[in-house]
Amino acid sequence: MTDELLTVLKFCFLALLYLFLFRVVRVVTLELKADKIAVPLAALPVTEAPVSQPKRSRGARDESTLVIVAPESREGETFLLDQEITVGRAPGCGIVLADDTFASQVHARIYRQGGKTYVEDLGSTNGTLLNGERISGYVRVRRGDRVQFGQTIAELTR
Amino acid sequence: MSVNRSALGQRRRGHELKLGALALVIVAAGHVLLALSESPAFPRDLWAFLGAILALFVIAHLAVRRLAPRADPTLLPLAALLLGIGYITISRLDVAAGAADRVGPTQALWAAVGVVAFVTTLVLLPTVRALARYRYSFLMLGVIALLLPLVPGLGREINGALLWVRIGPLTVQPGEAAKVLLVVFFAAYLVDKRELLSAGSRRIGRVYLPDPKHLGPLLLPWAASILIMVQQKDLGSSLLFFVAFLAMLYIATGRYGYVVIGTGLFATAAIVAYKTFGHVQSRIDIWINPWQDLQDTGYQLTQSLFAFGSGGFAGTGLGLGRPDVIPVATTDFIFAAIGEELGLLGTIAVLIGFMLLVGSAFRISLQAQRPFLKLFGAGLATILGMQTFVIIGGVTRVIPLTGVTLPFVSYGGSSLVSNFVILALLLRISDESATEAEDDAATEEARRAIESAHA
Amino acid sequence: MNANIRRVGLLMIVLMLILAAQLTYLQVLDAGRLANDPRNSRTFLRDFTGPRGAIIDAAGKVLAHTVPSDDEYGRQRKYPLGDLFSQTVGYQSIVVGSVGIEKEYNDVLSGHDLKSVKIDNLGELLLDKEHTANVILSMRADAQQLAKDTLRGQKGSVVVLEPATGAIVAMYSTPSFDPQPLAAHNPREVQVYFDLLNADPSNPALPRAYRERYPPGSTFKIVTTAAALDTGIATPETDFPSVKSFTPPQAGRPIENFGGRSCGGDLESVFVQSCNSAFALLGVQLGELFPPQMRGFGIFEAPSIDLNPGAVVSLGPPEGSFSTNKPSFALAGIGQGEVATTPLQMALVASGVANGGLIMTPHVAAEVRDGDGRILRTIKPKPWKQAMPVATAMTIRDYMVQVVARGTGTAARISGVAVAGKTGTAQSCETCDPHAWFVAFAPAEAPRYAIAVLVENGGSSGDEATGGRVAAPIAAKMLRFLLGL
Repeated sequence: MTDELLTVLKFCFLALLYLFLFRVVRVVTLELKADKIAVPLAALPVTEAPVSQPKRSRGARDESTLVIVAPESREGETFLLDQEITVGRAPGCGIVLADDTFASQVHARIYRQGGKTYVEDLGSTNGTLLNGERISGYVRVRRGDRVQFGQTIAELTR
Repeated sequence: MSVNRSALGQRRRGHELKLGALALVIVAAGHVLLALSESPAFPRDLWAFLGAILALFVIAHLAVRRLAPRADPTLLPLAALLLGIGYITISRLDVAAGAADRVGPTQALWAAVGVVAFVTTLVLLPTVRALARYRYSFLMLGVIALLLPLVPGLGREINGALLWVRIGPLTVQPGEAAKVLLVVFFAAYLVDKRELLSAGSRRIGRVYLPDPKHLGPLLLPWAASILIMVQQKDLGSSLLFFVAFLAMLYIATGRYGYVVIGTGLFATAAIVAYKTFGHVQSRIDIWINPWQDLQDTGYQLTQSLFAFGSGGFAGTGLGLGRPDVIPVATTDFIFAAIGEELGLLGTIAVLIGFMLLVGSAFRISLQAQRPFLKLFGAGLATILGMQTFVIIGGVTRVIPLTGVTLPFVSYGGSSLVSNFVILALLLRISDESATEAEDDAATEEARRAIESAHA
Repeated sequence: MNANIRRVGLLMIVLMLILAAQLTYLQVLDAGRLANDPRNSRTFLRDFTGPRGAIIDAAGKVLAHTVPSDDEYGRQRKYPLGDLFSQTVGYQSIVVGSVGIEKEYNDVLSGHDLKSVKIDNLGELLLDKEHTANVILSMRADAQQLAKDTLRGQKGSVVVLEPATGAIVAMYSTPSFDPQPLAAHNPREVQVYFDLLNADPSNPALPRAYRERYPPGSTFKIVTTAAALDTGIATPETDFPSVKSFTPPQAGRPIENFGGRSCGGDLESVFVQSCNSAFALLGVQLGELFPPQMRGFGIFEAPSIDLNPGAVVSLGPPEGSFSTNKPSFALAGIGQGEVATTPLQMALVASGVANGGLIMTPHVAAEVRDGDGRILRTIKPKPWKQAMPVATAMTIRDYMVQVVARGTGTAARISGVAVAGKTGTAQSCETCDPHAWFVAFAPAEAPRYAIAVLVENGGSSGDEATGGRVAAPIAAKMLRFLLGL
């Protein structure tokens, strides 16, 4: 095998390497493009979307449970979420946080829709936190997530 | 199964398969090229080799297809290529090595074990967020793994570093496992405490200083990294740990104060170590002037630099250089061996490969919605990136040389297996996030539809 | 959080870019230095483990060859003649690098890059990787041995070359060294030997013949005479007054004739007597015309020679310095002051006179042959400098014949052969003994060999030494041997 031929083959090999890297970069750009398209679509206010039943809601039991984990005095209190429940210091709320001075009168609402649970802050002073992050508008809550209203923390158990 | 109906999953797995096929072609080409440099005939084991790499990749790919169908499509092919290039380089070094010193077959075996670990991780871990629940168990396991080499009778010192534990016929590096375990703990811990940690109390100039009582999380990795540096004489892992944890702390809190204090702490420890410990001092001295004692202490690094220089722009060609004169070329200095035979074109290609791999890992972290997944992904990405930087920087004399492996490329079972686990975790995070996003989008659509119907 | 992640990711990218920059530096910008660093064992390892051609003298005697060895390299380079050729053939060392012929002709000897051979000739030769070539020198081991014997351990150099071709026949200097230990494979031992060699105050590793400069003394009067004749400053008829000394302008210090005698007469007379007063005067009269004439002889320009490292440059008073430094030009006229030449350069000066004014490019190798003895390359004679017109060369040749016949160089007489020569006794410092020089060629009418002999600081004769007494007999012995007398 002459050195010249091996040199040519070496460059072919290196060219293949760069072809591979180029292909990876192309896939990455495609991915990024797909992300960009996906985000604005989801953010668009859909007004005339066709009515369709969510697929996954059919089999799912439309209820879930919220358990208070803090403060200690109320730890373990459990609330069944079937349709919608409001949270706040006001006596009319589904979950009354009478002792929590950091909670607003009508602090937030939790509701079920399409088999999923959502929490929506209702303009509270100190905000609603999902897993430590302050939410704006409504956010989906998953099993194991912790929602904080004022100083009260509750966990979605099911 | 509904998984296969996902357009996103279909697209991503299609990309993965195509890229993987190309990576396999490259690896096979390298194998043939290496054989041609010795004798003008195709390698006799070509079909066996092709079969083996094909089997390994297909198993990994099918596992992803079934267990994490929406995961990022670039990670697996990139890892396959890096592993393949590493294997070719290792078997090339085997050509020059004596029969007793050949490590290529062992590396092939470890690659298979790595794929098994990869699949097992995906099977055992349907969701990554479940890991957060066992944070303290992981902390304990991580610390035990770190301390294991220090147990008398169990630890083994190799190349001056006390990183190894002997289990029967195997020597393993528990530190490789420790880094993953501790990243899990730290991600979970930071998600819990980030509100608290973000609250700045004092302010100096534009930098908020965290409350002293919240420095605990900073001191733990600091202590761990000092322990590694001093007790195990492993500067590379020490730096790796600390930077990864600092990066996660910063990501969680957004506070430069931690970065400043952390860097200060580490620098102080490094200076003290430099003054106190001979091995640290000699590493730094070699870095500053490797030419001083070329025959002895500076030998490894200068041989590495010579290899890069001799390779030049286009390299000598596979099998045509003398990478066998580089010390410990299959592990610490494998990048120098690549540099000699594939030249700058080859080293930059490998570097771009790592950039894409680490970049994809960070992209996974960005795309995740849950803070724990974000932090965990970013931590793993930082570990991969820093490890690449520490070892390549070490052999090219950008930073003092410390012995860590080049992920997927270097010879070494512990490192390969742990990197495959990291790969599986990243894919799991990616799949989990993509699935949730897909669900969210579907639900959102449904909700809006209902709302508009009500209106 | 995303912004923070992006920042950390960006930091990683920056770190990778730093690596890319350093790689570019190592593999492109600094690659040549790293690849060619003598401590980079790659080239040598390849050369050490691979087959390597022999280096052979003009009579077929092996000067360097490779034999099988038991160690990891499988081959060992041997230098059977020890210190005789260490300063020309050099050595091939894995530890300290290669020098001399071993380095200069490494490509053909190792056969790894026989493209240089391929380009030169013989496209028919199918050159595969195992192909190596032998280098045949124009140098002769017997002449080297005689040079060594006649120097008798005195520090000095002997350079003999063929005026018509520039082929070097002998080039030896004392002290020398045995190159064999440097070719050993044990790095520590080699380093110790190398360090010892360099620490030796007599500096045996220095090839004095072509890499050390000395004041040439009166041998340089050949150059002064040629310059004076070519510029018209003097003619053969010019009459120089008989004086004891000449005091150049700008300096109170007179330049005295040898032994404080009065001397003068026509150009031939002052040349044969080697009158300092006359040549110092000529040096001043030449003034700014002098340096360009020196340049014609190759002063200020290192002669190209097929050795690595090559010859060092010989020096004279720089152009443009006459108005400020006239004494230096007076001293240059008698080969002192700022004039400093290698023995090789003075042999080339003699060869220029012998060859009708034309100095040929010196070379030590004659041919490159393959293992079957087929010639792959011939080193062809190449002109280097036209030092003077033919007529001037003839005139000076006649003067030089007279020097040996009846002047200061009578010790170089060979019965039956006319020898042309010039002595030199050069002051190297205030207190040390003078260097003894003799340059010559023979036979004068059809020169076959030109020679330069230098004995440092008078050798064993000390302050009694003159070029005629110490150096001329050595030249005579060499010429007699080479001419077969």
